[in-house]
Amino acid sequence: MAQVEQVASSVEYYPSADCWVEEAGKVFLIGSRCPKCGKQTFPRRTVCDGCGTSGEQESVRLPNTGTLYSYSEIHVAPKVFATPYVIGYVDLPGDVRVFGQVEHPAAELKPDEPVEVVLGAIRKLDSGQPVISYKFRKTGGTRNA
Amino acid sequence: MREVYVAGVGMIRFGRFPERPIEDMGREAVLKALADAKVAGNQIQETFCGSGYGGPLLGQRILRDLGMTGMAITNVENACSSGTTALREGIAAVAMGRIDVALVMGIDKLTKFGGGTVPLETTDLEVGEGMVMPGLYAMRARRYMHEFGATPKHLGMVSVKAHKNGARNPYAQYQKEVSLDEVLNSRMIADPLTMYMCCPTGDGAAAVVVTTGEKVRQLGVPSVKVLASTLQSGLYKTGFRDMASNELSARTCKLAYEQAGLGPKDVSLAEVHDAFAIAEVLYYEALGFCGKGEAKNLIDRGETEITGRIPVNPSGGLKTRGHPVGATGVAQVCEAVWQLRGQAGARQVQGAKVALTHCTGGGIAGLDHGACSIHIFAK
Repeated sequence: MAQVEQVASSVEYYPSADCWVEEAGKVFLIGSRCPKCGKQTFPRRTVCDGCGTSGEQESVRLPNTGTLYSYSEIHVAPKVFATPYVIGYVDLPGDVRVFGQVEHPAAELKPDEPVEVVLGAIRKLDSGQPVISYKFRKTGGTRNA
Repeated sequence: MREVYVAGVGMIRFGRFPERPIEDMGREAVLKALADAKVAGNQIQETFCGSGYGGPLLGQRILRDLGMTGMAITNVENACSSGTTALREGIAAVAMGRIDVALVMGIDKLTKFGGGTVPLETTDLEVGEGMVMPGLYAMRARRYMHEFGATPKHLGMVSVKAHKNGARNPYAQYQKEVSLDEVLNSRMIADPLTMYMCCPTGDGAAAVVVTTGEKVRQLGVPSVKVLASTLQSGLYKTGFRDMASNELSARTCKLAYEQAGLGPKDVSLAEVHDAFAIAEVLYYEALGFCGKGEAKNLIDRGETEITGRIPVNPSGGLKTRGHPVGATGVAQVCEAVWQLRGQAGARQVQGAKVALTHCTGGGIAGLDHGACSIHIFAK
């Protein structure tokens, strides 16, 4: 039993906890920036997809708000995901597109809406333990972009 | 390069056959294609076998019990384009003069996974976050509707057409017409895509024999010429991607039209990769059958019906013929050949002279799709 509790209390992050930082209640994704051409990406990569420069990509803290390009409410998925859940593509300023789950039913969303990065459970491991990752939530247009 | 011809085609009726071995399905398709081409197994000089999930040595496993061993057998995986990727290799082997007669197979058995969506690679970041194939197409649909004013009704009409055509195709997994209401009110899979807007999973096998012009004349079989044989991969993009259009299919099609020396107006019919209703809508535009954002007009006017200006998926497409991943592209070629020969029965496109097959897919983060393969044939 003790072992089970220990497993249940550890936290599983996806893809890994070094993909974001939390600061003053906000979540910022960590991407990479090419020192040569300035192209930014998420997640970090070692070869620039803008100019092909290899290695030495800089880490960069990406803006924590963007716009919801498109989305869908998923009703059929592998059983580790609790359906229905909503997925979406979010464009962050600086031409960085991020795929993730959105914390609203599809009926409450529309394309090009402003959203912010948050953290939350995206699925469960076979053990039942939740997996935490970045997700998106509407800013309601009240927070600055 | 030599001209290449399709000498024979064959396929099994697609469906769900959990008890039937994949090798047995493959053998039936091969024997049909050989008979159609009037060639004996020992005249086949190389075989190219495309499959997404068939496992190692599928070509050998199928051909062993037909006594067709010893030759070069190449097994090919390229997700939904596996079959037509194999076809492109067979065509190239004949075109370059390495061999005169090639056998190409496309085969898959998805019932081995049970039900649900086709499994994706879990090492893919987006898959770990919750991406499923219907969801990817659903996001395309959402964006397309937002930008161009199309509605779920347009998507539904594509499915109604697929069922209407599939009901006339003895090879189709589903041979039953459905109403627009049934499509729109069926179970939601990935909003706005309902169950009847998604292709089924299933099992199937298809095969074709390709050869030279001289050999086709010797065999005395109807001649269907290969005008274009293309394969491209998706471009990796980490930033903005226009999901209301499909760059990969448009780029591959441009290449195919250049090879064939013709354009969209010359195409009599097309078999396109309608894995989901929105896919067919996007491909009307990518293949040049209408301008950007105009697909809904094509649908409203019924121009892609069998009797329309540019019939699309007279077979019923993936939606009703079924989509055993690696078999789909080769089944499209079977349909194209039957249409060009005037052997398509109740679904025949009158006066068909040029047929285009378009096969694309494969879920991979950052790309439109893994691969796209387009072929053009003429009688």
